Amino acid sequence: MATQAKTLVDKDYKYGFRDQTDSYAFKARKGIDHDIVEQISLMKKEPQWMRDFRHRSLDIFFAKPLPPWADLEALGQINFDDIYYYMRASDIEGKTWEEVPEDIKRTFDRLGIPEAERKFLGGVTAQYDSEVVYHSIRKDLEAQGVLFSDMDAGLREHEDIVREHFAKVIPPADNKFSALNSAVWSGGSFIWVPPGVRVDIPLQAYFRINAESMGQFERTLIIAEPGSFVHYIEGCTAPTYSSNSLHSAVVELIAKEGAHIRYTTIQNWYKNIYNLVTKRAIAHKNAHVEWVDGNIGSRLTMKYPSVYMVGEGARGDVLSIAYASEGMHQDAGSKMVHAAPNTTSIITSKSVSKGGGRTSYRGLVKVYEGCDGVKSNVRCDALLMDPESRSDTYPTMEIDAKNVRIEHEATVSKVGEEQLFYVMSRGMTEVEATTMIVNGFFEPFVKELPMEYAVELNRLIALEMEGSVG
Amino acid sequence: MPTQTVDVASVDEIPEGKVKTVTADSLRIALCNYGGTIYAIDDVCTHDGGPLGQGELEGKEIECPRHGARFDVTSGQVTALPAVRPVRTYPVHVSNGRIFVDLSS
Amino acid sequence: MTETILTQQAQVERGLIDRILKDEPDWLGDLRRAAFMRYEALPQPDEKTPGWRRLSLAGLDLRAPTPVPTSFEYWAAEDDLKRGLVVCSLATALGTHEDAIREAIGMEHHGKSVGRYAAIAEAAWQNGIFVFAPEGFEASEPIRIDVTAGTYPRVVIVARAKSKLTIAETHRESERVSAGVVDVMCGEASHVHYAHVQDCAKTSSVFSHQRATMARDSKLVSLNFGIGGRLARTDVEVELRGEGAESDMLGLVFAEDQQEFDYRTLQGHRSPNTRSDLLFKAALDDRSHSSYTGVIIIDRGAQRSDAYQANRNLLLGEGARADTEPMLEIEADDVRCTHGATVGPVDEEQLFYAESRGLSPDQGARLIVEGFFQEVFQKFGRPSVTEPLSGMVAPHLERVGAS
Repeated sequence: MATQAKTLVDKDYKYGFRDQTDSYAFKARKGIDHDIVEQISLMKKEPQWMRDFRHRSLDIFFAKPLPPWADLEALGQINFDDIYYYMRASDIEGKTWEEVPEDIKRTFDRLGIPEAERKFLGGVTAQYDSEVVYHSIRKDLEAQGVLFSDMDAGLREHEDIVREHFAKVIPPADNKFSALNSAVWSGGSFIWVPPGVRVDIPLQAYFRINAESMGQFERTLIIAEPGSFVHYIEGCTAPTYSSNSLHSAVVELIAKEGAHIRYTTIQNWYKNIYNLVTKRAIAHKNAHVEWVDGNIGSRLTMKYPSVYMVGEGARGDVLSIAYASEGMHQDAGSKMVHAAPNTTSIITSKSVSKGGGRTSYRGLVKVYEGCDGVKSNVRCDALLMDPESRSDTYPTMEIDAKNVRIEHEATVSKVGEEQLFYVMSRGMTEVEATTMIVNGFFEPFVKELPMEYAVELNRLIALEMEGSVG
Repeated sequence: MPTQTVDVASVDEIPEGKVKTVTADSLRIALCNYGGTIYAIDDVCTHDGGPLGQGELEGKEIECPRHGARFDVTSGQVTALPAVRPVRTYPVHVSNGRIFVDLSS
Repeated sequence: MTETILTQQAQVERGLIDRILKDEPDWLGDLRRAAFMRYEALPQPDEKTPGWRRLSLAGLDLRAPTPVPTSFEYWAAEDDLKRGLVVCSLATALGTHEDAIREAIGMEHHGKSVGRYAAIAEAAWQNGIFVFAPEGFEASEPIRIDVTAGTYPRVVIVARAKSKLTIAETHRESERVSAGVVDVMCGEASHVHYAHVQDCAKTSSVFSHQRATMARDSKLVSLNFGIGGRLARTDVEVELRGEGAESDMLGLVFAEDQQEFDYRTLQGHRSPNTRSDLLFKAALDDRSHSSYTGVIIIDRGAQRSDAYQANRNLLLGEGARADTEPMLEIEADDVRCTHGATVGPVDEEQLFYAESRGLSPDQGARLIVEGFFQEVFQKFGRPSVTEPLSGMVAPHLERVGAS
């Protein structure tokens, strides 16, 4: 499983990780208003401009409607007044192991998740022990001049850099949920890579988790200066439970000239969670941004990782998988905006629906006038495992330049009988055969993951397929 | 190209930090007062084509109210997504308390 | 450009509808009145209307016009008419084929063509066109219909079981705005080839809504060919209601200047073992624009259905633009469904190949565009219908250049 990082219980400023459980008399309560926003900002000791920013964002959140094109049947069930928008570690620790759903515990068993990690994934503990490996990684990063901390620390210690880039890629007014995040964000990662520096080891969210608010409204900002490279990984394949059902993260990536950012996510939220994420990158001249996105959990995920290519020669890639079983809706996709000539985008989306699950692909490829030499290729494939499941595709292309090459293709089908028969004739059971076929279907994605994630994902798929037959 | 300068408003109508939209020759223009100087830009957000002048000024940036795109009113350049194309600017000169916008080119 | 203040008031008076329906059967009057109410309830579309954002509507007055009855001419083989083929105005046919018309017009439509223009056309049509093929009838020649004037052309085509016929309906109206509705009823095991040719005045705004309902084992091959109009919005919906039904939808557009073509299609699979295939191609020169939105719906019970959809856009002019939005809504699992779209200029490799054969770049480009069209014409498969269409494109092809 993912490497575990040691969080220091005594608040060590040097590493930028501290649990902000101050003596402030904050009382966790449900609902959101300016009072709560004010308290969050004061507790974090934020500069005035961030406080103002949060308040303004809250007003925008109140004013904006839900997106009319979305799955309103699911979204409409969110009761905004019945949610905790901020909880400190001490508030979270009130939960007991008994509350964690049985099926999650069973999956932990089957996957062989270590005890301490189970408590963390089950939302029962806010911190967890980890190894010293993390310390040496930090040393290397410092030597290279790379900044990597949680977002709160980033704001505190590198206010200038943060202020210059914060909310320039995803402004609060972008949509209702980016407005919400902008008002109550807490945690998330801040990464700044100096010009020309390659960070060879993937940076992982686990390295800096301090569990404030249980990752509910994370805000991540990654800035790659010209010619630099960084790979960031977040999430995990193991099922994750949180009693707070609304999660709305914002991730902003800035790839300056010639820089390369790869961002890998796997989410496997329990099926009570609404996971509404705004992820967007801006790619300057000859920059390259890759989103590798795995969605295998949650009641409803709405996530459309995007790349705005504003410099000539920029490139954006999205490789995503979605798996939806009963009661789940994966509403994913991508937006590729070509605002400069000779830019390229490739979107590969693969989804599997089973047992009444629903997957949707929603995408946009937009080419502005004057952007010649643009190439874009979109490929969406959906596999329906049974008659109860559903798949929808809504891709849009708006092309205003002439000398471009735009292609889109989508296919929906079920596991072929001939395919199944062939594989089973090699001595496998139907479950094994189905598992193999689905694994093969997801293979282009799985091979881009670090080994431990890939192994666990395959095991998870096997578990899911077991439930699907007989 | 001959200049086509139009008297569009009085300076008094636009306090510092405020925006006023006017129509000149069937073009919609947003007049922005940044630091005491008046700047004129198209009242059209290059992201969704809707009015920009309804937005607020923060320093020298105007923010489109619908999705948060920002433009530097002194140059027209984009300072925040989701806009990617700059907004058109017009030369302005003030004379006798009246604002004149040059619509040519 | 002066701003015209357009009133929201209906251009068509309620009283006029009442006068039109006076001598008609009650059921038709009811339908007209209901349609008129829908028309009044819906707002006049403009750039802010969802789905209209990318259309260039400068200088267009899109208000529904005062009704002008449809004028048309037709050609059908003498012998076919003797053997039972009927081609006449809808008004006349109400006297002889009221039940068939009632069945065709009375169908409920779940698709998208329930907008303002379809509503006023359904309320205010006059004269209309009716084509009827009795059971087992096989036409020996295509039926040609030329619509020359009229604001609300209403067409009803009824092909009874096992009948076979080909219809080519050409529109050359020059009304400021025209809105038409076509209803095609394909009876069991019937074979219908339907070509809808739009060659209206280049100042016209043309709205066309075509709906087909297909019974078991029927086959429908339809072709929408658009070359006229300043703004042409066409909605084509096919409902595959009976098992074994097969639909081939073909679309072809050649646009130049500032022409706007907006095509919306629906392939509705409501029964098992149905098949649909759609190919929509647009060649866009100058600053023209094509917008294609296509939906494939496969109902939960429509197992073992296959659906395909392809949209190909060829950009010939520097200012040409193409939008495409192919959509899938799939609720059955034992299906095969693919859609694809491409946008791009004349392929460089193909051009190079043509030049290596001694053609000039312009000649090469023209040949490639011709080939682009031929695929669609060949799939329709009725040369006597498609050859004149090639002829219509020819003069426009002369303007196509390699750059």
